[in-house]
Order: sequence, then structure tokens, then C-alpha cells
Amino acid sequence: MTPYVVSARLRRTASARQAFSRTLLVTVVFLLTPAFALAQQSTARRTEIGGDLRWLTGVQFNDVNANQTAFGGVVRPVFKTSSSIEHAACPEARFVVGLTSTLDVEASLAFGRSHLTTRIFQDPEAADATASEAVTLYLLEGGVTAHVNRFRRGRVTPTASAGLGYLRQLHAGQTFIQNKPTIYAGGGVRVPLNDADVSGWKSAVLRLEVRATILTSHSTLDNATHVLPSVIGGLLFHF
Amino acid sequence: MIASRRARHALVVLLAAVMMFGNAPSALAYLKFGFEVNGRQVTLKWNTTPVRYFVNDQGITGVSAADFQSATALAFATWQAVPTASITYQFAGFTSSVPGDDDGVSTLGFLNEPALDRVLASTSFLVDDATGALIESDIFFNSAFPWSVAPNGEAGKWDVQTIATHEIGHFSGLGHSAIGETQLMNGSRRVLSTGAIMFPIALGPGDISGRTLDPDDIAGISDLYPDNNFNRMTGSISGRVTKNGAGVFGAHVLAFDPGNGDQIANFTLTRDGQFSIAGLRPGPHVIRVEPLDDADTDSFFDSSDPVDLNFHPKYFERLVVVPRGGDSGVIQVTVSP
Repeated sequence: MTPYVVSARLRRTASARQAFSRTLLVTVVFLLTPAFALAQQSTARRTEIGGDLRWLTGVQFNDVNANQTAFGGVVRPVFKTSSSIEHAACPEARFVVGLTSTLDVEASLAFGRSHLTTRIFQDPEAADATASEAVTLYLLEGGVTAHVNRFRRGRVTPTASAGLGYLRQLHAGQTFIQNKPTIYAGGGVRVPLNDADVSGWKSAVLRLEVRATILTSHSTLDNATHVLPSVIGGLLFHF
Repeated sequence: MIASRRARHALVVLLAAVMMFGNAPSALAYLKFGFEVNGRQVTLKWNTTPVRYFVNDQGITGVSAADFQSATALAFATWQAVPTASITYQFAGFTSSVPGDDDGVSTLGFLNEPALDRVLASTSFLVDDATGALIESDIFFNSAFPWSVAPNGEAGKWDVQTIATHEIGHFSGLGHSAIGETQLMNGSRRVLSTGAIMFPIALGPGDISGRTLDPDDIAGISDLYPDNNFNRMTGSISGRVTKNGAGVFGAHVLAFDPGNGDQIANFTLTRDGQFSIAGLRPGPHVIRVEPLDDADTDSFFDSSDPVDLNFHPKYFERLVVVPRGGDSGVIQVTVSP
């Protein structure tokens, strides 16, 4: 009897696994293609595509010293360094699907070039110096944006957003690549510019936002968590 | 070999022309020993592990043979614990042989050598000059100095484990590292600080900070005895140091990781100024080039080597990115007199 019981349990497990796989597949398809899925469900739901300019204000990493050991285990720095990723202006593509009148889901991809710079100082044998290298940044984010209609003033609607992302850094001609999972939160405003159905779109929306992207500690230069602030401004076109 | 503050060492070599590896560098993580066999350069290293060693059965006042064996076993374990290196060691027993006997048995022990008033300990090698195989390596500790095996060190006495850790680096095939700062004072050199166990001068009696390895030591032992992951997970920087258009020999090149503070270094080891530093964490590095401190060339080079000391320390203007499992590509650092 035991093999039968095991077999039955296996069949149930397999069945449950198939059901889970179907659910997972539907969920993944839904997440990856929200525009198609939602457009088929309701033409009343907004689909917006737009472009931004995103100003990444840069990241200051923790200072790191070149330490040596003196008698008794005393730490003795022989020089000190301070590293940062400099600010960068990044073109960004954005895709928004309005789920309700107050909640959007959105995805964006920004691209930019910056520099990782290390300042070297307090070396008694050498003058202060700066060393840097070019870094290419890709920031992919996805999340939700809430329209805070309660505080709407005329055409200006405040928004609050949050989500997850991925920062990909390519160093020195892609010889070294860092991928950093990120979390973001931000707030801004949406201002509709045009309600007419012109040139194939129904309206244009000016969008301004200040966003804080949290770089998790796993792959930052100094293995610490840092906040990368950014300012986003651009237009969304409602189809 | 390690020297006290009063003492400078002289490399003791038995039956083998052991010198610093002087050919074009191929991903060296600081100095390794090398010698010439039938016209080719051979790196001094053990070909089989575990490396078996004996301990002389005579202790000294305050340090019994058993105490000495326990302290040196801890030092061997420190090197063996490096996760990216594959070398292992095995204590084979006590022996009446003394260090320096050419008996094919690697032996550690005390010898009373008051004439060597600047030598705390020394490592010697017996090499088959036909095949290049390392047959034996002995370490003697100079009992003319006071020694201690106290867990927390003992004022005025040299710590056996600390000095053994340095000598076992030599025993394994490593040369000296120049990551450290010294100061000339009344005609002798005073060590201010060290950034590697393989720095040639000990900090002082009573100090036990040399019981643990630094990144430079770890890179060196891993470069000599790499495990499966070492070459895949780390990378290297190679380049050339020039002055007035010509290569600089003997420049000390330091790779500093601005993310975690690791310092790993090597020298330019050819007349056209080539260097290579291996065992680096992937990512950006600061490169610092300097002449040897206090003109101390004989701790690192043969007296006939044309070591250039006449230039100013300099930082390379670029952060040099180390790829995982690869090399940065050749960089050129220009220094000025």
C-alpha cells in the first residue's frame, strides 16, 4: 500500500505544481506585458509612454584609508581616500499603465555616463591626487505611482511612487560590471497639458518628480547602503 | 628571514642560488623566490602537499620544544587557512636534527647565533639544481634573543608565533613585501608600521599583531598555490613604469582598493619597467608608485640589480579597473626625478 500512497502524493504534488506553474506564467505575462493585457480588458485605462531627463545627483561612498599596523596592533593610515560617483544627466524612457484613476504601474529605463572618482589625500610622501574612470549607468525601475487627488490644485496632481529596480554599472569598457538591486521612493506632480485628441495621442502630461533610489549594500564600492537622489522631469503621452 | 629593529637580515641560502624572480612578470603577486635551472627560471615552491616538517627537540629557557611546536603549528595553520590557497602542512614529529642540516628533512628549531645580532630567524632552502625541485627548507630561530609563546605576548620578548608566521611565508616560497613604513634614526631603521607579514623588519618584542595575514600575504600565497577559484575570482593589473622615456627597475607599485582598503603590491622587475600585480579583487584600484623606502634595496633585490631610487612617489591619474579572472591591460605610469 505504501507505494500507492506515495504515488498518489506524487500525483497531487505534480498537479499542484502544474497549477502553480500556470499561475506563475499568467502572473509573469501580466507583469511583462501590462499594456496588452490591460488594453484588452478595458480601453478606458490609460496607457502612457514618455521620455524624461533624469538628473542623478551622485553618490558619496564612505572614506577608506590605506591602513597599516603599528606596534601593538595600532592602526596607522598612510594615506586616505574618498570616492564618489559623480552626477549624471540621463535620458529615460517611461511606460505607464493606469490601473485606476489613482494608481498607475510604471516601468522606466535610464541611461547615463558618469565618473567614479577617488580623491587621495594626507599622504606625507606624495601630493594630493585624484583618480577617476568612466562609468556607464543603466537604471531599470518598476513600481507603482499613486495620484494624491485629495491635494489636487487645479491641473496639478501630487503623486507618490515606490518600487524596485536594478542599477547596472559598466566600468572601463565593460571589463567589469556591477549589478545593484535598488529600492526607490519619490514624490512629484503631474500636470496635464492637452486634453485634445491630437496627432494620435489624447493628452500630454508634464511630470516632475524627486526620487530617492536606495542602493543596497551587496555590490556598492564600499559594501554599504547608499541613497542616490535624482530629479526627474519629462512628458508622458496618453494613447 | 626577519630582522629586529636593531637588526638587518641577510638572506641565508643553502646549495641553491636563490634570488628574487627577475624575469618578465607573469601575474606575480609580489616577490617570489626563483632560481635558474638549465637556463630557465624556476619558481621556488613545493610541488607536493602536505609539506611535512619536523621540530627540533631542544627548547630554550622559557620556551620548551612542545611550546615551540604549538606556536609554530598555529603559524602554519594561519597560512593553511587561506581560502584561496591550496598549500597544506603536516607536523611530522620531533627530531634531533637541527635547522641547516642538509638531510632532506625540513626542520624548525632554535640555534644560538650571537654573531647574527640582527637576525631573529632565517629560512634556508635545499634545492635539486638538476630538476629545480625543492627538497628541504629549514627555519632557525636565534636563541640569542629572548622568546615567548605567551598567548598575549610578553613585554621585551619576541613572539614565536609572529616571527614563525613570517618565516613560514619564506618556507612556502614568498619573498619580502615592501608594504610598510620605516624611518631612519641614528643610523638605523625604525619600523613605523607594516601592511604585510612579509615586511622584512619586525615591529618589536612583545608585539603579536604579526600573527594574522594581510591581503598582500594572502595574494602572494594564493598566487603560488592557487586553488580552483583564485584565478577565476580575482584579477590582475599589469603595466610599465617609466622615467624620461626609459623603464624604471625596482619601483614599488601598490594597488589600493578604494572599496575595502586592501593593499597588494609588487615591483617593476625588468629593465623596461614592467610590473604585474595579481590576486586583486575585481573592481577599481588606485595605483601608487614609489621608490623603495630608505634606499633599502638589499632586503628585496640582489646587489647587482639596477634599482632606481631617484624619483618621486606618484599616483596614476586613472582608477584602474580589474576584471574578474583577467588583466586590466597594460597601463603606463610616468614618474619624474
